[in-house]
Parts: sequence; structure tokens; C-alpha cells
Amino acid sequence: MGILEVKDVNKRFGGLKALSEVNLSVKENTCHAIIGPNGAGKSTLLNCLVGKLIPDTGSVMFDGQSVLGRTPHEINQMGISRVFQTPEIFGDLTVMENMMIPLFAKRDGAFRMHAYESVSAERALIEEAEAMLADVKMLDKRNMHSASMSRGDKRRLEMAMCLIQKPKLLLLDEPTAGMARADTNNTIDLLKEIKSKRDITIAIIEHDMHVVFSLADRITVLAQGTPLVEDTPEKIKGHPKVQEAYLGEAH
Amino acid sequence: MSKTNVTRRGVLKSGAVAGAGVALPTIFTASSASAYTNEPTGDTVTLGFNVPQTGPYADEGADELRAFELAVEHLNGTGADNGMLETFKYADGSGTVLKGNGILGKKVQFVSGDTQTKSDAARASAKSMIEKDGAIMITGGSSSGVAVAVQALCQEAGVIFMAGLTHANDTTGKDKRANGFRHFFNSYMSGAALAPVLAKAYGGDRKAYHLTADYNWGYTTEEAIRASTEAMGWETVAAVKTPLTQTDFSSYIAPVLNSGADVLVLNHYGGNMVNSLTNAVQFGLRAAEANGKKFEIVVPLYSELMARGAGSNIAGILGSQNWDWKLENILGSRYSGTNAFVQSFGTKYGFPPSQAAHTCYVQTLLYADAVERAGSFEPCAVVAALEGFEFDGLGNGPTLYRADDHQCFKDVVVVRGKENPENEFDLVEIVEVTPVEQVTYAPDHPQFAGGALGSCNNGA
Amino acid sequence: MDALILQILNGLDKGSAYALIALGLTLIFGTLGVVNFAHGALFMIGAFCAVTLNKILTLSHTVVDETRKNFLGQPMELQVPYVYDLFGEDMGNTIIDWSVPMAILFAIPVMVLVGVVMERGLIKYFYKRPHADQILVTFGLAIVLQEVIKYFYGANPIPTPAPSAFTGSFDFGALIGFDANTIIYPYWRLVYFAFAAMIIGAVFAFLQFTTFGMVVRAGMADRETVGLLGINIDKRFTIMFGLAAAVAGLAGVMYVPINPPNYHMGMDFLVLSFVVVVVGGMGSLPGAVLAGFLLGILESFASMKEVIDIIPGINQIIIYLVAIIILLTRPRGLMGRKGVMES
Repeated sequence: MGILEVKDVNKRFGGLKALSEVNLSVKENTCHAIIGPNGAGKSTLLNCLVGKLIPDTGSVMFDGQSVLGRTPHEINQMGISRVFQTPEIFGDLTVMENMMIPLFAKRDGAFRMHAYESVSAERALIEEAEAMLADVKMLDKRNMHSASMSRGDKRRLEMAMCLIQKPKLLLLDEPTAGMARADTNNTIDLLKEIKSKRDITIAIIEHDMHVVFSLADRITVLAQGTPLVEDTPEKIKGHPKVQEAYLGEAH
Repeated sequence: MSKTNVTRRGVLKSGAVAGAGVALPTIFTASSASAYTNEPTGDTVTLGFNVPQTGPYADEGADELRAFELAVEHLNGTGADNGMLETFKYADGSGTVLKGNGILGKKVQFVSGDTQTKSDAARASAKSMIEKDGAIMITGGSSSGVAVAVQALCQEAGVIFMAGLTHANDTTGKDKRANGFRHFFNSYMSGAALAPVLAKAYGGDRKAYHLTADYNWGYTTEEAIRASTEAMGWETVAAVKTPLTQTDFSSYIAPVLNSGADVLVLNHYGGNMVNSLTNAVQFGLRAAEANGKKFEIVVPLYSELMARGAGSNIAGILGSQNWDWKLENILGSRYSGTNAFVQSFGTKYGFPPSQAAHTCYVQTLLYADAVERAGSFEPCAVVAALEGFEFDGLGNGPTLYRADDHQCFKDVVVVRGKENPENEFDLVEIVEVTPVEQVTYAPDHPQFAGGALGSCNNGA
Repeated sequence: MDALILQILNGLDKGSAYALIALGLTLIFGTLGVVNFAHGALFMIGAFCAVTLNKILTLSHTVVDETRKNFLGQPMELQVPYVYDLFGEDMGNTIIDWSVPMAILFAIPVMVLVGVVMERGLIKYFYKRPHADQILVTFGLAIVLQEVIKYFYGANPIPTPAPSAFTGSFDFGALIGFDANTIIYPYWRLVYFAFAAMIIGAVFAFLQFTTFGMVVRAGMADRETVGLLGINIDKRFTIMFGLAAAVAGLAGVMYVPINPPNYHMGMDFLVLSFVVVVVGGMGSLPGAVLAGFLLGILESFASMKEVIDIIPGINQIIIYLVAIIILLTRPRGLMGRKGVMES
């Protein structure tokens, strides 16, 4: 029984069948990648996983609870953290302030009407934030206006903001899209580190095969809205059906 | 005074339809086979009271409406007393022919409309009262812009217009109409009345700074005050126009003290006056000195409502009014009718009437009396009855409704804000009354030139 | 020179009101994404809090004085305020005298309540609606509020004076080295400016130094991300609306001695405040404050006789002229973030 269980999910948009009989099981503390050609339904599936879309049929259970139809902050409080293509950080705030927000969220929950307390009085949280910043090697940039950082730095900050909440599941949606080789490698290293150091489940949607094969424990291949194959990376590499799906799509 | 509020229309009462009559010449549906518009055929006659019921002058409009209702009671003989019907006299000393049994035996009814203090809304409201409710006379209002507009409409429609509170020269000047009549005094009269009092109080060697509301009433008042004060030796240092929608006048007041002037004349009415006077006193103008003299402020036209709004800031400020409820008590029986009206109004409503209420009440009585004397409601007959009409006992002393311009000529009251008012109805004290001879002008006076009375219109 | 300084002072104190109202408007737009045309009405309600407190403090009972007569010739009825009975005439007068500053304490909870009720009762249904819908509904609300106040208080302005210690003016010029009597400025207007500066400072300090403030700033930067990180931002925004309402209300309370409050003062300030927000940059708090003071000063200069002589009528249109120029050349406003309102 995986920590994330997707069962019999179907989704139709008008005449288009976007998802068809999708079944997926992500085991705890593993890295599960979802790949497939364009139009395979990866984004649609992701949106179902994070409450943005409600499938026509089927269920999505995380840690025994249904995810369907929940608000974004509820999903976060369940322990799911998401990372998008464009780094979602608070541009107007400093790096340090960016780190404090997820800490407040974690400590206070979504609804606690909290704190007119001074920020500087939150010594415990500040130390925790500093520790994380040191971990991602950004401590020296703590007072920097986050909008003025490089894209790679923003990505690292975003990742740090997610991780500091100690999520159970990290959902990544094409995290290296548009990145140069060097940045991509940095991201791979970061994720490898995360995998090894923490108890965390990772589900990643990716196009870049290098990233996928570096990180994934299991891979699900989606094509035309339905899972084609699910197996270990070695088995997927030479799989004829996978090649066909990609080759067919490429031409 | 029209305010340009973005896309806003206030709530209208009793049958007034907004927007229909905007800027187009109004076309009146001819009534069938009557000799004149809305000829009353049954046993009632309908009067139309067009007052501001919404907008910034709503409180003044309410007072006008109270006076109108009281007048109707007295005309019908259903009031607790007879008010000014007891004191209303003709030039030969005989009493009015009004007997308290309606007008020409017909019971008086009325409808009311909301001018919103906007010309187009006022016209639409008047038009509705004429066409839908059969009003044979329209009266009321608190603004010269509205008065001029409604007067023109009544002329086209063939009904009589008895103006309410309108002070600009133009209403019986360049915009005068044969069907229209104004009892309330005008800017010229204020200037002529104030000038000698100002000279006596402040001396003939003064330099005046004028702040003037940027519309026709402001212009005529400034012109009138300047002409009369300059004639007795004052110098006008500056005359600055202020936008009608201005609320904070500080930037206009601030330069006054160092301008070389020692008198500030506020040609402002209503909300403008409340704010500009408050700001002027705030900036210490009352306590200041300039050119070795005490700095003074003059507000040519006072209203009780504005005085209330300005609070303690009116203390010591000179101005003029058409009438004051204390007139007979202070200055004696020449102003008989005042106490009768004050008693009647005060007993019914619990507080003394404003000058707006007074002029509306008087206009209603004057109309009814003219109809009785003419023996007909026909507008041209009423016009003939009012032109050149001399009367007394309506609170202003002997008064003439001049034929050349349909303007009443009477004494003018010069008032001053009280230093220590006892209550909100006792805010001004009467300084003196300027006799009618000193405020009379020739019909072709330049301040009133440019228009023609035309001939009366019976409509239909 | 003294004329210039006078107009700068004028502009600062006029600008104080604009800045405070624009601050609240920007807070609401930046956090909730709502264009709140009822904000001027909040300013008006604040002013009427002061009027109400004054009325409460001067609640009187009638005492008949046989020795004096009223206008009808009957024995005069005097109104004796209850505070005289409770505290004696001198103390009673002092209390009534200070009713405007005391109204600050009275107004804060009232305004927060009004803001919260407005937000929970009406505004929250319009978060996702297009701005045009928001404008219509909040404008309608503004008219309703205005008419309610008019129903209870009448249409006439109600004079509500400052404490006698602060009425009148003083020689500002002497303070900064000018000849005597060249620059006279009213006390209360300077008090108002200082008060406004304090409130603005307090709001910025709150946003900068408290945890709640930091979450609000994050929400203004990127509302979606705040939700993704697990914070239900909508609930906090209710409080923000209450806070913005309180800021507008306080601006109104202290304004009453400057011009007697009346029911349409909200509308008078509303259009100008929106121009301020647009010029300053929608979504930028420092921009709103800066633009408020700037436009106040500009308006003051434009009313100078010397300026009107050169460009007649400039005093009526200067603010709108500036707004048009900004919208044409730099639509995001002086300090707005790139992309806001530029689509």
C-alpha cells in the first residue's frame, strides 16, 4: 500500500479523454517519476493530485485520506508540498523572510488567527530557518531581496521553503524545465541529497531523462492518458513500447 | 447649485422622473380644449412644490416643504390658526380677499417633487408635476441654477413659476420670464444693503479679497458687492474663483493674509460657505490684523442652515438675509406678519422658520391672492394681477412686485453672527435693515441687462 | 517664499487624508485583489463616529427656565448635558471639548467591526469576480452607507470642533526664522499631519516587524503561494479589511474639525483617492503614501492665484491631468510593481 494511491481515475474534457483508467501507487520514501510524451496527461494527473481538478471517477488517497477537492492550504497541511516550473517565492520579501513564512504555516496551521508578535522574537524559528539556509548554502544571502536572485538560486530557495515544512510527499512538476546543464545538475544533486538525508517520498514529472534516471526508484510511463508501463528505470530504458511511444510522438 | 457626482442619481420621491428632460427643448402635450394649461375643472386645484429632497440642500428643502404645507392649511382654512392671512394687507390698507376657503372656492391640493439641486432633475420633476399631476403653479427651490431652469420650463409650459430661494441677479435679470416671479432678494440688493453698513462698521478705506464660487450666482454676487463697495472707496485686491465642488479651501485661504487685503469676502453659499468660513477662521483670519486694522470677513448671503453648519465660526461675520424671524420683535410693527408666521410655524413644528421657509410661504399666499383678485387661474390674468402689486403685512414691510421684472422690492436685513448664541435658532443678530429705496435699481441696470420678460404664456 | 511654504504645508496636510485613504485602498487591493469603491464611505463613517460621540456626550435633559422666554414667548427650555450632572459643569465642558481625540478610541473598534462585517457580508463574494463587478457593488454600498448616515444625521454639515487647546493658529513662520506673521498655520491641521504620519508609520511597522504583517506582505507579493505553503490567507484578509477600514476611519475622525462633516464627504474624497492609488502604483504601499502627499501638494500649488493666472482653471483639473499623464506614460504608477494593471 503506497503512501499515494491513485485508483481508477478517469477525466474527460468535452470530447477529449484526458485520463483513462489511471492507477498509480507511490511507495513511501521512494522517488517515483512520471514520464511520457507531450499530451500524455501528465499535467492533468498532477492537477488531480493537488486538488485543482476533480476526476470524473476514481480516487486519490494520500496517507489514507482523500485529496480530491481540497483547498491548496489543506493539501499542504496534509503533508504534500509542490514545486512548479517557475520558482514560486515571494519576490518582495528577503530570503530570510521567505523562509519564515512556511515556518509560520507549519507551526500555526492554516486557521490559527495568530501572532501580532514581533518577528524578531521568534528565536526558535529563526534558528531553524538559518539552519536550512545553511544547508542549501544560501545563508550569506539571507538579507537579499529574493526577486533579484538568479533563477537557480530562486529554485533552491523554493525547495528550501518546501523542505523546511518537513513534508511527507514532495511533488515536482518539471523542475528543470528551461534550465541550463549546470543548473540541472545542481538540482539533481540537491534532490539526491534530499533523498538520502530525509524520510521523504518524491513524485516527479519530468521530460529530462537524465534527471529521471538519476533519481527515480520507479517510473510510470503515461501515453494518451493511460499508464503504458510501470517498472524500474533499468527495465524502462530498453522497453520497446516506451521507445515507440516517444518515437511515435516525435514525428 | 449642481454637483457633478459621477454617475450618481439619488432616490426620487412622488412621481418625478429623472433624465427625461435633459437639455432638449421640452415638448408639452396639449391638453384638450382648455383655455390654458391644467385649467382646474373640478373642485380642487393642484400646486407643485419642487424642492431639494435629496442632495446637500435637503434640510433646506424640508423646511420649504413645511412652509408650503402650512400655507396650504391656511388657504384651505384647516390650520390651527390663519397665519399671515390675518396680517396680509393691500396698499390701501384693506385686508386680503383670501378667506381660507381655498382659491376661488377650490380646495388646494399639492404634489411635491425632488429637484436634487440639479437643473435637469428639477426640470424633469416640474414637467412631471405639470403633465401627470395637473399642477397649475410650480414653486420652491434652493438654487439659482435650478430656478432659472425651472422658470424657463414653466414659461414654455404655460404655468406660473413662483421662485423659492434664489439669489442670483439673473433670475429676474437676463433670465427673467413673464410667467416667473421672485420674492426673494438678489445679489445687487445684498451689495447695496451691505455697503453702507460695511462702511460704517469697517471704514471706507479697506482692501477686499474675494473668493467666489465658480458659477453664475457667485459671479453676480461678487459683481454686486464689488460695485457697491468700490463705490464707497474700498479697493478690490483680488478676486479668485473657487471650484463648486471644492471642500477644503485651505489653499485659497492661505494666501489671503499676506495679500495686502484686510477684508475677506466669501461669495459662497451652502456647503462652500460652511467650509470656506471654517477654514478662514481656522487660519486665524478673524484674530489677525492687516494694514493696521482688524481683519474682517463678510458673507454676503446668509442662511440659517449654513450658519448652523459653520457653528461658532460665524461670530461677528456680517451678511444679509431676505427676512429673519426676529424682525418684528426687534424692529417693530413695520414688519408685521413676521410674528404671526413665526407663531404659526413654531407651534406646528417646534422651531422658528428659516428665510427659505418664509419666502416659500409668502409666494404661495401671493399667488393665491393674485388668482382671487384676477378671478381666474389663467396665467396671463395672474401675471396682470401681480405686476405692480403693492402689499404689506407679509413680514418684510411694504413691498412692490415690480412689473418690469417681476422682482419684489423691500427692505433688506443686514445680520451678524452672534458671539454667544443661546441655541441653534439664535445664531444671527439683526444689525440693521436697509430701506428699500437704497436697494432699488432701474429696470435697465447693467447687472440685469441682457434678457427680456417676453409675454405671458397661457399654454394649451 | 512664504507663500510656497504655506502651500507646501497645505499640501502635506491635505495629502495626509489622501495618503491614509489610499493606504487602506492599496492594502485591500494588494491583499484581497478587490477594488473597494466603498472606501470613501469608511472615511465618512469614521468622521461620523466623532459626531456620534459628541452627540452622546452632549446628551441632555430639558430644564425649564421660567425666567427666560423662547421664540414663542413661552418659558425657555434649556438643554443640560448629562455630563454636567455627572462631572460638574467644568469637567463636563472639558470632556465635551476633547470629544474628537476621544473619538479615536471609540472609532477603532467600530471601524474594525464595520470593516469585518462589510468583508464577511459582501466583499468576500466578489474576490474572484472581475474588477468591474467589484466596483459596481462597492460603489452601490457606498451610496447606501451615505444615505443611511443622511437619514440619521440630516444633510447639513455638523460642526464638530477641535479641543479648544488646538483651535486657532500659530506663527509657524517665526519657528523657522521668518518675520512675524508671515506664515500662520492652524494648529489642528499640523496635529492632523502628525497624526497621519504616526498612523502610516504604525501600519508600516506592523507590516514589517510582526509575524502577521509578514504573512500579509507575502500575500500581497503572491497570494497563491501563501496558500500553497499551508496558510488560509482569506481568513487573515478579513482582519486586513478591518485594519484598512480602521485606518480610513481614523483619518475621518481627526478630520472633522478641519471641515464640518457631512454625508457626502466620502464621495468627495473617493475619486481623488483612487487617482492617488493609480498614480502611486496599485499594490504599492509606499507608492500610495508618496502619491497622496505629492498630489496634495500639487493641488495646493495649482490653487495659487499666480498659477491660475497663467493657466486658468488648472486648479480644477490638475489632479486628473497628472493621472492621465501617468496612465499614458507609466501605467503601473510611480512605484507599482511591473505588470500590475498593465495588461
